[in-house]
Amino acid sequence: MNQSAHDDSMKSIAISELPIDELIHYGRKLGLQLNDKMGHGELLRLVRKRQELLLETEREALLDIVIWARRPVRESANKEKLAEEIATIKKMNFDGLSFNGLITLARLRGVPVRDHDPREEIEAKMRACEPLMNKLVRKRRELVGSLISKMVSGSAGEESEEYRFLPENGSGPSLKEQISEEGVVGGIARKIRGVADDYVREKLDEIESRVDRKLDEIDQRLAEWRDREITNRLKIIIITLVASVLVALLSLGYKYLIHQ
Amino acid sequence: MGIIGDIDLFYMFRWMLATFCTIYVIIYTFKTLIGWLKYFQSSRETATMGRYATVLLLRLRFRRFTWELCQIAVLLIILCYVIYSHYTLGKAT
Repeated sequence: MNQSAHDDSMKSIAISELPIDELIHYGRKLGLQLNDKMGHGELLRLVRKRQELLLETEREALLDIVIWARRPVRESANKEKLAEEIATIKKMNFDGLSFNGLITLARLRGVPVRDHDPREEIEAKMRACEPLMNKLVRKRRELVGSLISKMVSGSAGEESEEYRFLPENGSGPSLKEQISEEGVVGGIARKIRGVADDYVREKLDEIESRVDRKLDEIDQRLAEWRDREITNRLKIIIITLVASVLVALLSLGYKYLIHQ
Repeated sequence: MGIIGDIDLFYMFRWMLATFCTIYVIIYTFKTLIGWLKYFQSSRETATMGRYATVLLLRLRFRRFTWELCQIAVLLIILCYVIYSHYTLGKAT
């Protein structure tokens, strides 16, 4: 418990030290609607509020949501990982979702609900809070999905299998099994190598995702610069055309006077 | 009023201006394009930059410039109408 509190306080310090773009990315991953016009303090407040909400939320309720949406997660995934996965769920058909899961999903989507609200009311509130554009996109995808599934699997439809969690990280052979197979030194060496490999892989993935994000940012800035340049060129063309029209009008007036 | 004998100075000025401007614009545009092409072919790095610039241009969304393009279209219509009026006036007299 002490260790967990220590981790939380370390994370809180780390979050407050994050630059704005990283903070926005982190907040969006947790399902928050953030933009770079918000100040650092406001972003930090919203992210911390979301973390508090996650602390208050039961893990089982989060697992209920991912099972209902059939998202691939490990059973041992922490609340933050589950929240990241839930943030990508746009599903609005709540059949099969437990009541606790429904209340948690509503709170994560920013819909104000109370514990004793009836299920129908919560569902109605969530539907009312869905942005119009998302609703249209969802309806279009539903239509396309039903058409394609009819074409692919006929009118019979598909039977959905029972949900299964992803295999756990440590589901490989245990240290005992490795030592019995390869001896003490070989077994321990393989175990250490495996742990080191996992650590390096995780760090490399983290670095790669940061580099990708930065490249996307540079790409976006270049696109903005391109648009600005093209707008300037078009303005020059407009000015030239205005001058041409004025000269043509002057010329027309001159011609008219000459022929009078 | 700018007419010496049979020569209309304003008419001459217009045609000379139009001719010189057209020739200048064509030569300058080709020179710039060839300059950029040579630059993008000068090394491997600049070739990559060139390919990226092409992709950047292909990803252009014209909707962002709707207002400017509409202005250009309206001005072109006005210009064409004024030029047409020149011919109509010429025929009428």
